[in-house]
Amino acid sequence: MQRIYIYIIIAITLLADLFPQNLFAIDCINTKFLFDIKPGADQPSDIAVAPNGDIYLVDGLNNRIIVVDGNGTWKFAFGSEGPEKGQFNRPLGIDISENGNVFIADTGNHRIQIFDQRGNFLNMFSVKTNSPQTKSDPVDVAVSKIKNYLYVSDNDNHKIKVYDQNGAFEFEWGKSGEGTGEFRFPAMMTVNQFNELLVVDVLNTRVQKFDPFGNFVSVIGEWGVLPGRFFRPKGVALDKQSRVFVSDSYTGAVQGFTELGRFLGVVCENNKRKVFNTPVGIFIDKNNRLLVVEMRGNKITVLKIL
Amino acid sequence: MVRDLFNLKLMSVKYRTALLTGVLLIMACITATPVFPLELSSKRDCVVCHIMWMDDFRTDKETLVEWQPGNVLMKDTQGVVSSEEICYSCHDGYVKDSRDIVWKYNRHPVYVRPSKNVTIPPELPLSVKDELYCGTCHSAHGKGAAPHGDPFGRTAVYREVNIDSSLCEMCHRNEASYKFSNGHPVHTIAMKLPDKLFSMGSRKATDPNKVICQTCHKIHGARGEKILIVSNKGSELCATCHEQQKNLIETKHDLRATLPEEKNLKQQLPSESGPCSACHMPHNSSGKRLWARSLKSGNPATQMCLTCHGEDTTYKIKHTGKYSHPINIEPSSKEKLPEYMPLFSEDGTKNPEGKVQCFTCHNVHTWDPNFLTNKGGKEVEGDASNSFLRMSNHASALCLECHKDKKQLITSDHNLEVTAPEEKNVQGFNAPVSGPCGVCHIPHNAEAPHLWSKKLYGGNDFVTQMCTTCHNNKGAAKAKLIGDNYHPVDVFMKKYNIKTELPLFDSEGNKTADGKLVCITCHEPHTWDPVKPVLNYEFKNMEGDATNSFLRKANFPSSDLCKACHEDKALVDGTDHDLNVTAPDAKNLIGQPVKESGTCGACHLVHNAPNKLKLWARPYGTIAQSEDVINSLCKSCHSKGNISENKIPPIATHPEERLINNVMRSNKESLDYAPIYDRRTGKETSVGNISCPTCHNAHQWSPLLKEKGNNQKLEGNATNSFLRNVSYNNICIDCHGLDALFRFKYYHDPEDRVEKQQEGIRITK
Repeated sequence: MQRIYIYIIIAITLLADLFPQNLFAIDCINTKFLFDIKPGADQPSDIAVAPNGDIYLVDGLNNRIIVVDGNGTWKFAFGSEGPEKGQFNRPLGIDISENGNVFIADTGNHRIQIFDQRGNFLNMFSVKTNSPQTKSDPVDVAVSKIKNYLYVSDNDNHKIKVYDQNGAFEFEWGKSGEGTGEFRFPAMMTVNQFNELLVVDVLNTRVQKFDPFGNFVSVIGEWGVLPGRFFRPKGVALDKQSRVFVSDSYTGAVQGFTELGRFLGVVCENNKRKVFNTPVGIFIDKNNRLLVVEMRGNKITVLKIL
Repeated sequence: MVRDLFNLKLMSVKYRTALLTGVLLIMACITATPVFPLELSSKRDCVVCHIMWMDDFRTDKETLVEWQPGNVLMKDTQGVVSSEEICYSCHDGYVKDSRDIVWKYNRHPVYVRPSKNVTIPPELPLSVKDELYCGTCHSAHGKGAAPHGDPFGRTAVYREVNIDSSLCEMCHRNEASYKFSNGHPVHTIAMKLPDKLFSMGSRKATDPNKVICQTCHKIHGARGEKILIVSNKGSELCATCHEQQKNLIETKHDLRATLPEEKNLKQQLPSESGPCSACHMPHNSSGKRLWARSLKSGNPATQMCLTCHGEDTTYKIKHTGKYSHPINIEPSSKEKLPEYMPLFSEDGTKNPEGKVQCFTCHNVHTWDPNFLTNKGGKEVEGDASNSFLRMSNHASALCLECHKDKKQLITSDHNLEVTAPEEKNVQGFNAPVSGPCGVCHIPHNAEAPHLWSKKLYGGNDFVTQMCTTCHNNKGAAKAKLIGDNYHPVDVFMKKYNIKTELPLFDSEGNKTADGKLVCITCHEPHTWDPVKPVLNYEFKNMEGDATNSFLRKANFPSSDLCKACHEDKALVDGTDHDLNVTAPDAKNLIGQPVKESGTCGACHLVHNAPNKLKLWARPYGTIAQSEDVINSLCKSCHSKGNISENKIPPIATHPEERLINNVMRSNKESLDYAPIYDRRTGKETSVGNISCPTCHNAHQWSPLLKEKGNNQKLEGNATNSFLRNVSYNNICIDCHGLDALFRFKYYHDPEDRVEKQQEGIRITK
C-alpha cells in the first residue's frame, strides 16, 4: 500500500514535468473585437457612455472632453486649458447621470464641473480638504441614485468624498492605510445596481466595495500577477450580470469577478488573453460592449462581451 | 552516521514513508518549476516597483506578465524595476500625474548610448546595453532619494542629490566647466531672472537668480528642442532674459533674412538655430560671448563683428573697407566715456580702462537706439540715426563723445550743416543727414585716410587735398581761397633745420616729426578759436583774424603761431616794428589793423598776399632804380607820408654800389650774419650790395638781447635800433677795418660821410 502511494506521487511528479506550463490554463471571458476609436487624444484616462449612447472620453492632457457617437464617429469636444468655467486643468475622471449630466473630475483645478450632454457648463464646486496646506486631488466621480450622491475619489488624500449632485458636501471616509475602508490612492469608481460603491484602491491592489454610506462591504482582488490578482488596478465597470471588470494598467489585463470577489476570468479574444496597452478607464454599455481606454495607446478599444 | 541516516532498514515504516515523500516532493518542485536565479521575495512595498520579486513568478501558473530575469542584485542585468512601464504605472495620474511632464513633451534621451561629450560617473549606472535609462538618474534608494523630497536637493527618486542641477553636472562636466568650454555661465548671478522664466517652467536655484542647467533645460516635460523649457527656434527662451537683445529680430542682424544660407558652427542654418543662436551658442562655442562662428585672434569685441564684416570674409554684406575707424586704441578723449559707450579689455570684457572696439559705438542688437520698433530691414540703408549705433549720431553726438576736442567745429564755418547744407559725402548723404562730422569723415568705407568721406580735389597730396577739396574755386569754400601768394606749404622743416611745436605731417596726413608743413600745421580745422570756445557762433561766414581762423594758436597780441617756427622773428613783438605799439590804426593791404592781422600779419600775409616778396602785406616803398628791391619793404613805412616817416635815414644806401661778398657772413646762426640780397628778386644771395636788412634785423630790437620789445616806442642807439650785429661785428669792418667802428655811426648822415653823393641816390631829409 505504501509503495502504491509512492508510485502515485512519482507518476504525478512526472506528469507535471511533462506539462509544466499548460497544466493550469488561464480562465477566459471571451470577447469579440469590434473596432478601435482613435479620436486624437493624448493619454486619455476615463470614459463614460451617455444615455443616448454617445461616448465621452477624458482627453486630460489636452484639457478637453471628446464626444464620439456609439460607432466612434467624432461629434464634438469641449473644454480648454484654464481655471475658468468650462476650462480644465488635466481632468482625469468622468461619470454621467441618468439624466445626462456629465460630471468631470477637474483634477488640476481641484474641483468637479458639471455639463449637459452638449458640453454646456452647468455647475461646478470645489473639492476641499480639511487642511489649507493640502490640496484635493479628485481623480474620479461616480453618480449614485441614493440621495443623488456624487462620490469623488481624492487620490492624494486617500479619501472618498460624498457630495450631492449640486455640490453640497455630505460626508467622507478613508485614510491612508491597508485596512478595510482605508486606501492607498483610490482611483476609479463605479456604482452597482444596489447603489454600492466600488473603488479601485491602486497601491493596495484591490477593489473595495462600500454601501452607499461608506460602510465597507467586501473586497475584490489581491496583489500579484497571477490571474485574478492586480498589480496596478485602475478602472472598474459592471456588466448586466453584475460582473465586475477591473483593468490593470501594468499587466494590460482586464479581468472579471463576481461581486463577491470570485475570479471569473481574464478578458480574452479567441480564448487568448487580450493584452491592452495601459488599460485605465473602462465602461460596459447597455449593448454589453466593453469599452477600454488605452492610455498610452491613445485609443478606445471596443469589444463585444460574448 | 550519514550512511545510517539513509539506511531505510534502520528506520521505522512511518519514518521511511515520510522521508521518501519529502524527497519526492522536493524533486517534484525542482523538476516541475522553471529554474529561477536566487532572488528574494520582497515585502509588498518593495514589490510595488520590484515586480519580478513577486512570489507569483515562482509558481507553475501562467502570470499576467512575463517573468524577466534580472534585477539590480544580478550582475549585468537591469531589471524591470527601472523600466519606463513601471514608472508610468504610477505616474499616469492615479498615484501621481506625470503624463505631461514625462510622456507628453520632450525629455532627456533614454535608451541611447551617452554621447562622447558627456562623462558618466560610476555612481550613475548605465543599462546592460550601456545605454542611459531611467535608473541612470533615478533610484528610490539613492543618495538623492527622500520619501517626500527635501530642500537638500533630494526627491523621492533621485539617485544622487540634485542641488542646483548638480546631478546634471555629474555627466555634463563640459557644460559645467563653462569657462573652459566657452559655454553659457552657470552658477553665476548676473541679473534678476524674470518671473516669466519660471512661469515657463524654469527651475529655481537655491538663489532664485542663479543660472543653473535647469534654468533653461527641463529634464522631463520640456516644450522645446534639446529639452529646453520652451521652444527656442525663434530664440524665445534667450530673449526671456536677454530682453534688450530681442530688438535684433527682424533687423539686418537677424541672419534668417540677411544670411539665410550661412551655417553656424553647429552647421545650423539661421532658420534652424534661431536669430540668437546664429551667432551665439550656449555650449561649446568658439570663444567669448558664446560666439557661434569661427573667431580669429584679437579682441572679441571687434573680431566678432569682423567675422562677417571683415574685409577678408566672403559674406556679401557690408564690409568695413580699406579706410575704417581704428579699433583697439585708447579713446581720444581722456574724459570718462558714458556708460553706454563701453571700452573693452583684451579678452573682450567691458572695462572702463580698456580700449575702443566695434562694440564701443555699436550695439549690434538694436538697429535704432531711439526707436526700438524701427527694425530697419534687409534693404534699408542705415544713416547716422540708426545703423546699430549705441546712440543716435544726429549732429555727430556719438562721434563727439570721444572726440570732444573736435566739438568746436559745431560752432564754426566748418559745420557744413549750416554753411554748406547741400554738400554731400561719398555716401550721398548731405550734411544735415550725415552730421557735421560725417560730411567729411565716415567711420567705415571711407574714401581716403583719416576716414575722409569726400571725393578728393586739388592739392598735391592727400594731406593738402583734405583742405582743397572744399577750398578750391569750385568747392564749397570757394570764397575762402589762399590766392597766388601764400605761405609755403609742403616744406620739410628738417631741411631748414626748423624745429617747431606745430604738427608736421606726411602726405597721408599722419603726424610725424620728420614731416612737412602743410595747411593743418597751422590750422586746426575743427576749432575756430584756439583760446576760447565759441558758444554763439552766428554762421555769417565771418572773416577771421589772427586770433581765430581755425589757427592752432592765436597770433595776437603775441605772435605765438608764427613764433612756433619763426622764433627769432617773433621777437618783433613789443618793439617799434610791432605796429600794435607804434601804429595800431595802420592797416595792411587787405584793410586789417594790427589787431586783426596780428603783429606779423601787419607786414606779411600768409594767404592772398598782394605781394610775392616776403608775402608783403603793405605797399612797397619807393626805391631808386639801382637800389635793392628788398629795401622797398622797409620803405613801406620808412618813407615820407607813411607811418614811420619820422624814421627815415638821410641816406639809406651804401654810398657806392659795390659788390660785396658775404660768404663769411652768410650763416644765419652766426653772430656776424649779414645777409646780401639779390637786387631784383630780393632773395638772399652771396654777392650783392648792402641793403637795409644787411645791417638791420627788422624783427629784433637789440642784437645783444634776444627778447621781445617792451611795448614802448624807443629811440635807438648804436647798441639796438634793430641793428643786426654789434659794431665790432659789423660787415663794414670787412672793408673799412677798424675805421668802421667810427664811421658806421655816420653811415646815414651825408654831412659826415667821406664819400660824395652818388648819382641816383636820393638824399631825403
